[in-house]
This record gives sequence, structure tokens and C-alpha cells, in this order.
Amino acid sequence: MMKKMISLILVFMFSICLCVNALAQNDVPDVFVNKDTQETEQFLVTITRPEGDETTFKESYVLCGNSDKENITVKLLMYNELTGKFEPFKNIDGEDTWQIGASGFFMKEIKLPKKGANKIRIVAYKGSNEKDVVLKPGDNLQVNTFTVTLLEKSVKDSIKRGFLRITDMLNVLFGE
Amino acid sequence: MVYVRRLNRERFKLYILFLLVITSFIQVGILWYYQNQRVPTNFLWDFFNKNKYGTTYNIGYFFKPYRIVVTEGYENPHWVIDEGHRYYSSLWDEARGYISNLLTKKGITHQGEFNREYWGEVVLKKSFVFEFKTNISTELLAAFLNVNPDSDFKPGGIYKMAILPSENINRNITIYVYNGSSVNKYIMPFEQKGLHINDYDNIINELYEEDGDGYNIVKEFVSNYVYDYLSPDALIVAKGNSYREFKSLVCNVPDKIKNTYTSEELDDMAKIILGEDHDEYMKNIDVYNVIVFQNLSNMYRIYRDGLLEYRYLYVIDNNDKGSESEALNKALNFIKSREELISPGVDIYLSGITRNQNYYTFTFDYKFGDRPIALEDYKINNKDGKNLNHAITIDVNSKRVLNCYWLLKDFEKGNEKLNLNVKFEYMFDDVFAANEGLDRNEFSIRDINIVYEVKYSTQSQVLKPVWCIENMEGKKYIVKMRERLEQGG
Repeated sequence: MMKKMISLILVFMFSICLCVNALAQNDVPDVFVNKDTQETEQFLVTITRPEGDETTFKESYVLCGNSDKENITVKLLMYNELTGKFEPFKNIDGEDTWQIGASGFFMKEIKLPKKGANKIRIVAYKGSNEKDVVLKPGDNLQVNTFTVTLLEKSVKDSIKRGFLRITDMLNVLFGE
Repeated sequence: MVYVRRLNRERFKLYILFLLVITSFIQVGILWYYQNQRVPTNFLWDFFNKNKYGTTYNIGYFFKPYRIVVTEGYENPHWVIDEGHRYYSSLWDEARGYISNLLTKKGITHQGEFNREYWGEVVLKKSFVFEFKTNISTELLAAFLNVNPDSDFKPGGIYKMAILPSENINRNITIYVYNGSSVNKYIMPFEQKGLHINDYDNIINELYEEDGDGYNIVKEFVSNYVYDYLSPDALIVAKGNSYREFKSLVCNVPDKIKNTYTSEELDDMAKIILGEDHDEYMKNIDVYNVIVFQNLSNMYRIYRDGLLEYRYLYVIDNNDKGSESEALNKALNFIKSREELISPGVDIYLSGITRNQNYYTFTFDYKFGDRPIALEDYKINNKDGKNLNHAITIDVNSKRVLNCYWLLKDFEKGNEKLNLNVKFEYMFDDVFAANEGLDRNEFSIRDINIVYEVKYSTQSQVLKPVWCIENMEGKKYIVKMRERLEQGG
């Protein structure tokens, strides 16, 4: 009897845990996390960095944008290849969602999670709570995805060395 | 016999006549130069000793960049090389040499003129940038460096100058000159005795090793779509720790001003302010407790908050405007001859030049410990209702100083340690939050600095660092920095 009770409690606890996870997932609307969500024009926020897909040698990366509209919320997500979904991603100050302030400007530093391609999604909408209204890309929701590729520092060094070798070659050919 | 006596009388009259003519000349001289009816010793001294009011000080004394900024290029930190830094002198000596070459066209090639936006491209490259607080005209540059400039130095002055040691593939040095409205590019050989490519690289490597506070520049992140204009090279903090440590600053009214009440103390003060001429002035303390030294043509008023006001009271000849360098020379002599009034550890830099119809206005500001001291709408405690925006404001022509406001303060490091938020994003929000109605579309940024602001006070003040954002018109926005309180403190 005791064993049955314990196993029932364990099953119950396990189910609760699963539900909590499911509820947590539900916190973020599907339109944010779904990789198939359509890209929109930058009609709420102009993203100034990244400007399209970018390549960098630094793990630390700064996202920037500005808006001439009031009461805009921005959310940052990063693509997870294992789940096939975008997931909320925190900047170095520990926030994945923020409201644009009085200047109409935001600048957030993130640590790129891995070498190679990092797919970053920035979504923006009016108001402070995404659950208040039905968000529709292009109507009241801006969705933009960028790929920021983090290269090894050794690549930079070899480019530098290569450039130096070319200039040295030119010096040998044409004199200093 | 009668004839001889008459001759003697005539000769005596002639002598008297000569004496009268000479004394009348002296009197005219006194009236012209001093409007002072006392013994004309100074007038005669001036007559025989022409050097007294001539150039006494080296005009190059104030010719220093406001700051030097070094970077390896895009995505790399920008380091500020302050006057106290070990590389400041060698880099500035180098730049002075290249400015001389530019002015005298010594072996240089002009590689084109670009619009002002191009300056943003320049500062994203590996560069050593020398910034002045105002555009220094060709005439002033020539006077500072004591060279004869070529008549067609295209930029007409230097506001900022960048040395790019490794841009040119032929191992020449590249110089960009920005005058505030356009950018000119020049190529010239490296100075034989100066720094070479490797030396510049070594400086950058050592700055990496020093690991000092680095900055980013606006151009790396912010677009101008929403704002009127953001200077691409404005230094900002976008990466790394949000908080940096600062110290407070204590600002005092100089004791000499605070404690001047008796006639002996007035005499001592007069000697400092007026030098050898101190006995020609009436000295008193007026009903508003202001120290006043006055004669018929000059008036000095020293307010109890440390403000020195000078006015030339006689008629100004509009033909005396003269050249900018002559006028600046007069202004610098006025300051340097009263050097004793400047607090130890304070540097003075030229912060502005206004060319008026009949005279020039030069403004100077203080730096203490490499950090600027700012005044914004500093109230003058008199009926004029004027406000000051600079530590020293001098109206001057080629002959004399006409008006001057000079805030005399003593500074010393405070004991308070402060952790202040230096991130651009928060600063930018706070500017708009603190200035309601500020229109984003009309907002511009020329420069951003962390400064200490001095406000009107006759007492000691503890100053905390604040943001000072200057727009393109020179208006300053002073904004409080966000402070992190020490835990458990």
C-alpha cells in the first residue's frame, strides 16, 4: 500500500513538473518562438545593429535600435537547434525583454552563445504585455531575424598575417 | 645791458614755454592711456620701456589637444590618452610636427576632400585622433607653432586630426583633418626622427596590456534616422561593466577672496590682481560685499563666490580689432599674469572662439585630474542677470582686454568613492527624461563628457561627476549619473 502511495505521489509530482514546463513554454507566444514566423518590415523599431547578417571576432556583441513611437516593448530570442525553436535570450544585464525609454533608443550587450552562426530574433510590439492583444506579424508585431557569425580569433590573426605577407611581398617587388 | 637783460627774459620765457609744451604732452598721454590724473610715472615708464605690455608669454602654452583618442579600429576599444598619460607628450609632439608640415606644405600630397560624415569612417579605422574643443584657425595654428603657413591650407583650421599610421600601402603616414564641416586627406612620409609604424603598433599593444577604461564610439551603433545629428566619434560606453568608480571633488572659494576685508588684505589682493599698477586704483568693498578695484578706465570686481569681473571703462576704438592671434595673445597674457590665482593641479584649455564685429571672445575651461569642470547657466550675483557657461570668458581686441569673467575656484580630490552608471543607453534616456519636451528630431550630440559641474556658491561644495552632453549649437545638457549604492554601506 505504502509503495503504491509513494509511486502515486511521484507520478503526480512528475506530471506537475511537466505541466509547469508546458505552462512556462506557453508564456512566450508561439508567433515569437516559431522558426517559420514570417519576417516583417522594421515598422516599429529600426534595428541599427546588426545591419543584416554580420560577422564578428568578439564574443561580446551589442544590439542597437531606435524608435520614434511610444510605449514599445522589445524581446530578444536566440534560435536553439536542438528544439528547433527560438527561445528568450538574456543580455548581460539579465533581461530578455525591455521597454524603449524616453530617448527612443536601446543598446543591449549580449554574449554570443557559440562559435559559428548565431540566429538572433528581435521582436517588437506596442504595449507592455504580449498577452493583452492578439499579435500578428506585420500588423502590430515586428519580427526580424539576423545571423551573427562568431569567428575564431585565429582567423583574424591569419588574415592579418596574410595581409602582412602581401605587403611584405609588395615591398620586396617594388622596394620600400 | 638792457638788450642782454631782455634776451635773458626772452630765453627764460622760452624755457617756460618748452616746459609747458612738454607737460601738456605728458598730460595728454596720461589722459589717453590711463585717464588717471596722478603722477605719470607709469606712462613715462611705458614710453621708455616698450616691453612692459609686449608679449611676455609663449602663446604655445595653451596649444594642447582637449584629448587624444587611440584605437585599433572597428569593434576594438577607444582609449583616451589624457595629459597625465605617459604617451601624451610623444604623441602630441608627433602631431605638432605633422601640423607644421601641413601648414608649410612640406612634402605632402592632398588626397581629396570629403563631407563631414566621412569623419565617422576615419575614426572606425586604426587611428590616433587629436581633438580640440573648437576649430583652431590656420592663423592661430601658425602662431602657436611659430611657422609661416602656406596661403591655401584648404581646411582653414583644425578641429580634429587623425593620424593613421598603417592605412597607406606605400608606408607613408595618412593624416585626416576635420574642420567641423569637411574632411581633408593628406599623405606624407613618416618623420625621420618621429614614431614609425611599429612604434604606433607598440603603443596600441601596451594600451591593451594596461587594460584601462575603454570606450566605443557612436558610429559603431547608432544611426541618425531618428535624431537630428549624432557626432560619429562621440565616446560612449556600450560594452562591459555598467558601473565605473569615480571620486568626488571638493570645490572651494579661494581663501584670499574669502578672507579679504581689511585695507591690508585689500592691498594684498590688489597686488595679485593688478600687479605693479595696484597703487593706481581705488580699493574698497561695496555694499554688496564685493571687492572693487577701480580707476577711470578699468574696473575689477571680485564677488565672494570667487568670480572675477573685469571691465574696460573707456571708449573702444573699432579699428583695434586686429588679428585673432594678437587678440589671443592679449587674452593669454591677462590669464598668465594672474597665474597665482589658478588652483594647483588645474589645467586651462581653450574651449571656444567667437569672432565678433569689433572684437573676439575667447572662452577657456578648467580640467582637474584630467576631468573637465563644467559651468552651465552659472548665475552671476549682480543685477545684470547674466549667466556663465565657461570658467573664463574674455572679450578682447588686439590692443587690450575689454571684458572678462573668470571664476576662481580651488579644487581638491574628495574622499567619497562613487560607483556610477556609464552606459550610454541609460544616459540617453535620462537626458530626455530630465528635459521634458526635448524633441528627438531636433536633438543633436556634438560631444559627451563626464564632468564635475560647479554651481553658484560662496561655500565649499562637494561635486559628483555628471554627464555633460553638448549639442551642435554648443548648448550643454547636464544630467545626473545613476549611482549604485554600496551594499551594506
